[in-house]
Amino acid sequence: VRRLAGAALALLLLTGCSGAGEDAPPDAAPTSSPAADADDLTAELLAPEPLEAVATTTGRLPYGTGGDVEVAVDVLEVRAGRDSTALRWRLRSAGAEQVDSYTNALSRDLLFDTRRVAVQVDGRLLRASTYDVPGGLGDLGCLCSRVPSKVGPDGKVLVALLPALPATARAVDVVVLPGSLVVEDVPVTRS
Amino acid sequence: VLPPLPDDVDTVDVRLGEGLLLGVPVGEGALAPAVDAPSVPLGDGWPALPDVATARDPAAQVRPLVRNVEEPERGLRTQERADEVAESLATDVLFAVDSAELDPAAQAVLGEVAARLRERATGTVQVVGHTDGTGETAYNQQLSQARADAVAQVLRAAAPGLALEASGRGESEPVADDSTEEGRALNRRVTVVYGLREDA
Repeated sequence: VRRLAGAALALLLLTGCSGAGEDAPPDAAPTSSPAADADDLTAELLAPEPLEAVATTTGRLPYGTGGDVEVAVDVLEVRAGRDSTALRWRLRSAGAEQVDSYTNALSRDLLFDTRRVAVQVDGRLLRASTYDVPGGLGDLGCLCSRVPSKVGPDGKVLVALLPALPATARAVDVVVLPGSLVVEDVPVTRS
Repeated sequence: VLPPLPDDVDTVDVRLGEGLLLGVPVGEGALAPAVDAPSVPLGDGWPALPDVATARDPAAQVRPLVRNVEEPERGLRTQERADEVAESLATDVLFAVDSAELDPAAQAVLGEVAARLRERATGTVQVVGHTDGTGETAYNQQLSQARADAVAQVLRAAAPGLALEASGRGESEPVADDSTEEGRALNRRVTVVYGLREDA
């Protein structure tokens, strides 16, 4: 899959199976239309990035050795699917100036992705799904964005694919950084 | 060009660049052209097609997915693949400092782990103890082994019939930055790894 590099990186996550009722986790959210129309989905993918935030917070993002910068987090969408949850959010400078944001605080092992970003519901943290890379190196791949090196007041839209939400979840907390950048009570939309 | 999908898959989730789409239907047959343009000669397109040997080997392009869920208050971190689960239990919840004697509160957590083993596990269950890097290496090795043994003993009693192997890795396999307190807490753990039954 990684041969389709850059903007064309495509990952297929096998989700729905015929007779999926047997395979779906018991608390997974049913989709109202699992076989959505392909044209609608294409239009959704090609649509301009949503600019409206459904919830926002500001806080400090660690940067460098012991320093931090003031940033804002806009949650654009938490969309619940049958087998996965799509999170779209924007990281931006809280002020008018561009700030350095190339931190590993949202990841591990100097991977500089955003795998530690989570959706919190019912006392559980659903983190970005990851994937194993060849060579027995473990789950170095992530179904999430890399952290941007700098962000300005317009920010950068980031995404993550997470495990499925419980069918009863109507609102969640989005935890970018525990205790510092937590967006509370974000409404959930459903596919 | 992606590997063929299993026959019983009728929808997929797609990541395309920074776009995410859930529940995309899977069609059958050849793809219809999306634009009115002359075809691209084989090999001249972008991205480059994989070589034939790679294209014939789905394993070369399929990456096992890992679902990551944590329950911080219970000290539980779960990584689930299609055929294997690793449940990491924070030893701060199970044991007192420098002790391999289980706290009473640990019984409830281990009881739930045992229930999942009975319901889902197959093959030999690995119970692996880990410490942070504080203290002597030999002591940490001994402590991690003793803690793994204590957890395995409870699980054996609660999930009879399953084969369990306990081992200690000391401080040799950290999963987080051991220079911070948060990282050390993540490194202090007992991980229960088990294969998933096909019906699980």
